[in-house]
Order: sequence, then C-alpha cells, then structure tokens
Amino acid sequence: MIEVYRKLPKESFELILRNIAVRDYMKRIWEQYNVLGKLEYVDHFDKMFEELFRFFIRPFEVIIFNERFIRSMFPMQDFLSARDLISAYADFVESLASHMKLTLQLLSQPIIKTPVDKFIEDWMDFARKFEVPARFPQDLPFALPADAKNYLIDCMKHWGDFVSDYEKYREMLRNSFRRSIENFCNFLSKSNVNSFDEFKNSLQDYLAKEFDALLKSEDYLKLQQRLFDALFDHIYCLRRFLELLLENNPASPFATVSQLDEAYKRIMDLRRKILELEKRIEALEVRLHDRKD
Amino acid sequence: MIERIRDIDVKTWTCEYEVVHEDWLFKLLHFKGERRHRVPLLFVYAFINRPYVLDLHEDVSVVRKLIAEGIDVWMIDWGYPKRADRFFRISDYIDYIDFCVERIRRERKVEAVTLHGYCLGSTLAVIYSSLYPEKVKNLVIQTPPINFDTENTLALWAKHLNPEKIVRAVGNVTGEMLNIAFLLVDPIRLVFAKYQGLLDNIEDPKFLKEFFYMDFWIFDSPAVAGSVFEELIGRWYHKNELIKNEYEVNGKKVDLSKITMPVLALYAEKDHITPPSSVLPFLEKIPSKDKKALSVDKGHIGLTVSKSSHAKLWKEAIRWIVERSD
Repeated sequence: MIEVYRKLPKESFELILRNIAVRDYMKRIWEQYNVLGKLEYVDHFDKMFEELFRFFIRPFEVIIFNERFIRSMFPMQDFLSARDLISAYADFVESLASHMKLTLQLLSQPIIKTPVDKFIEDWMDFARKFEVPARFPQDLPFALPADAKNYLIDCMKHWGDFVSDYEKYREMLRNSFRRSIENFCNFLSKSNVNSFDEFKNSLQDYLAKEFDALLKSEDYLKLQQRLFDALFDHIYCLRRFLELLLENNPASPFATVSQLDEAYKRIMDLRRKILELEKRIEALEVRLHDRKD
Repeated sequence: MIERIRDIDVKTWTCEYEVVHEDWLFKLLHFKGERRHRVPLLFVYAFINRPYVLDLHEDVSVVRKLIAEGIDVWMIDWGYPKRADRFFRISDYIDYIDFCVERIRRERKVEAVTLHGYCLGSTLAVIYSSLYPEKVKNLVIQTPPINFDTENTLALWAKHLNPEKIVRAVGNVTGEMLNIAFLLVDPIRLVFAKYQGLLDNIEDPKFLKEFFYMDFWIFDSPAVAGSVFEELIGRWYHKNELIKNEYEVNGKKVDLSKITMPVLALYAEKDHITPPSSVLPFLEKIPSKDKKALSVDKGHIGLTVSKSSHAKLWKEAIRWIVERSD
C-alpha cells in the first residue's frame, strides 16, 4: 500500500480509496433494495456523501488550523479565565489567613512571623509569577506594531464570516445530495432495477443532474464567492499581522514573504528591461551588419 | 488491485527532444525527426498543465504523428512557476513566444511558422498571431478559450472570483488549488463515476494503463503565476477583452481583424472547460478566408487522447497542417 501511495499522484490515491469505500456502501444499499424492493434514505448515503465530498471540504478544514494557531499564540480567554480564578482564590486565601491570624493572636502571644504570615508571603510570591502573563492580554493592544492591530481585528472578522458561510456551504452540498437521493429512491419505487451496474449508473445520473444545477445556481455562486472572499481575506490579514510582528522585531532573522515579493517584483522589472535592451542591441547589430554589407 | 496498480509504469514524453533554449522558467524544445516540409510547427501549450499530453504515450501521441508526416516540431514548456515567478505577466509569455518564433525563423530560414496553441496556449497563440501576423503562416487552435463569456460551470465560477484577493493571499494559485477546482466543477463525473469506472475495469490492463497515464498528467499541475491569474480571471473571464478587441500587450492592441492567415480550430462538443461557444464566435469574427473547424463528440481532454479522435479528427487535422507546410 505504501508503495502505491508513493507511486500514484496523491489525488488519485485518495480518490481510489474513497471510491472503494463508496462502492462498499453502495453495495450494501443495493442489497437492501434487492431484498425489500424499495429504498429510503439510509445512513450509508450520509457516509457516501462524506467520502465523496471530504476531498473538497478538507482544504477548508485545513484552514481551520489557522484559527487554532492564533489561539495558541494569544490564548487571551484562557489567560483571563485563569486569572479570574487565581484572583478569586487569592481573595479567599487572604480572608482565611486574616481569620487564622486573628485567631492565633487571640490564643497566643504575638510573634514576629506567624506560620500564617509565612503562608501569605509564599502565596503572594506564587501569585506574582502570574502577573506578567496575566497582564499580557490587556497590554497586547498597546504592544502591537502599527497596523498589526487592524490586521488582527480584520483577520478575526473574516474568520467569523468564513465559518458562518462554510457551515452554509456544507449544508448546501448536503441538501443537494439528500434531494438527489430522495429523487433516486422515488425512481426506484416506480422502476425495476435488476443489476448493481444499473443501480449505480442511475444513482450517478440523479446525483449529476442535481449537482450540475446546484453548481451553476445563483445561490451557490454567491455563497462560494463570499466564502472565498472571507477565506482569502482571512489568510492575507493573518499573514500580514504575523509579518508585522516579525518585521518590527529587531531580533528577527527572517525576511517576510511580502519583503521577498517586493524583491521578486524588482528583479522581474529589471529582467524585462534587460530583455528589452538585448533586443535593441541585437537590432542595432543587424542594422550595422547590413550597412557593412 | 494493489499489485495491478503497482505494476503500472507511466513513462510520458515518448518522442526524443532536446532543450534548445532555457530562460529562467521557460524552455524551447525541439523534437528530433526527418524534416520533409519547409514550415516548422511550434506548439504553444497552456500554462496550467504540462505539454506532454500531446506526447502522452505512443498510441495517442500527436507529436509522433506530426513527426511521422515530416513536420519539424518545436514546443514551448512553460515550466512550474514558483513564488519568485509570481510577477510574470501574460506579456512575458507573448515575448517568449516571439523569441522562439524568431529563433526558429533564423535557424530554419523561413518567414513564418505554424503556431499550434492548445487550450490557454491557443489564447496566447491568437494574441501572438494578431500582434505578429507576418510571422505566423498557419494558426491551429485546439480547445481554445477566446470568447470567455460562456455558460459552463467553470466560466460562471471564474466570473464570481475575486482574483486580486486570492493572489494577495497566496501569491501564485497552486496546482493543488486548481486540481480541486477542476474536479469540483463536475464532482459526480470526475470524482465518482470516473473512479467507479476504474473499479469496474480493474482487471483490464489496457484500461489501467490509459487511466493512470491520464491521471498522472491531470494531477501534474503547475501553479499559475499570481499576475497571470489576475489577468486571466480579471481581463479575460470578467471583461472578455480578447474577443472585444480590447486586450493590450505591452501597449499594443490585440486586433482580431489581423488574423488573416489560414486557421484551423479543433474543439470538443462535450467540453466542460472550453465549450464550442468559446471558439465559434472567434471563427465568425476573424477575416481569414481559409478557416476550418473540426469537432469531435468528446470532452476537453478526450479530443487529444481518445483513440476515436486520433482515428478521425487528428488524421484530418494533420493533413490540413501538412498541406499548408510547404
């Protein structure tokens, strides 16, 4: 299997495996139809849908990792909730300590440092360790380089748009699939399909008809456009945000993609000028040669 | 099944060639063969796939058939653009075609060549022919998108894309992105029916060979340089500038009324990428007195690699080329 994976284009390999699974589900559905003489929407159809459209949906899911990445860089919510908890616990410990201190003072002669004082000191040392990271999310807006804040805000906004449209996109594909299967089931209830091949080909025709219409429909085209716009805006804003963090860090040893692009653009412009000059020189040489002749 | 697939040995480029020029990303190839006709032929392939589909394997090699007829065959390979190539423009492609044509003219001591464009290579060939008609003896356009205002799914999708947003985010449009798009325009036939067909024919070695030769080629997709993608979607699909005579290259207007040389158009009736309506308005528009269209009841790729197409359409097409090559 590994040899085949290495040898085939990765798309072919994936599509073959998925179609083997699809065939397996189709055969089970066909057997069910063969026994009962009729067919209803069954779970196996959902599994078929997942196999067929996973190939298209996966690239979007890969993008979802971007959002996880940002969260891992700036886990603001995690920090804030942990900070609240620590703060509440510190209040509790402080009041408990006051209570214990007063109790001890009542029962014994005052001493320079009670065990309670020691506990409070140790606890405050421990809590202080959280101070810098706990303040970091609050200070972040002031710490970001110019423009980076806007890219970060835009990046999150486009992400929200993308997620919302992505759900609609999945539903749209799934509804079309479901509709074509229902039409196929209706067809089966009125016809006599005698072989698996005939069954498979009819299913394919019903699916193709539905998806041909869907993929050209105005609703689909608009949704796909919104989805792509949000996705590519999100990618761009995230990249620019990260680039600005790098570009403004004097210790960063990396050139960003935008800086490289600028260099590539200048090189390309120079290349065109050189080619143009070469052409002119060649033309001059020909003219010179003609004159000599 | 694993054993059968493991035994497949895909070896494309069946005809011998040499790289006669290499410029950064682009290459000019020359195929070896006995030259019996005066006018050389230069293939201008599309920049979104690899040109070896014209020499995929011996049974369906268009290049081999042309060489067998004594045609002197040259080909441009547009390569695999990387991030550093994102600022290549359509005009750079046209300039390289001109460089190649000049080189062939000089080496073969001819006034003009036969320019054979394929898919988006046809679009480039049409642009070149209108800018430099004196250097093009014959123009052959194969599954050519020239009128981009069509109703096929791919064109509708392209019209609803925002190329600037895509390019500023990703630089070049990668082969993987294009592969997914080309499959999703017809998911049931290309993802479901096609591979179910493979499972049906898994015992047939001939079927397997042809299937995997095609799949290797289909998924061997170069990226499209960012600036080229912007022009392709923005100026060709959105504005349809070419057929309206509004497109410009390096400040020169592309005027289709300059297409007076003999023109042969090859198109496929079931083409879901460049339907017949992509080319027929072009044929009506150009003033050429010697123009012909040949079609086949196949899809975009079937025109090039199907046996039935080779038995009929290609025989006729090659005869047309040979008759105009002296």
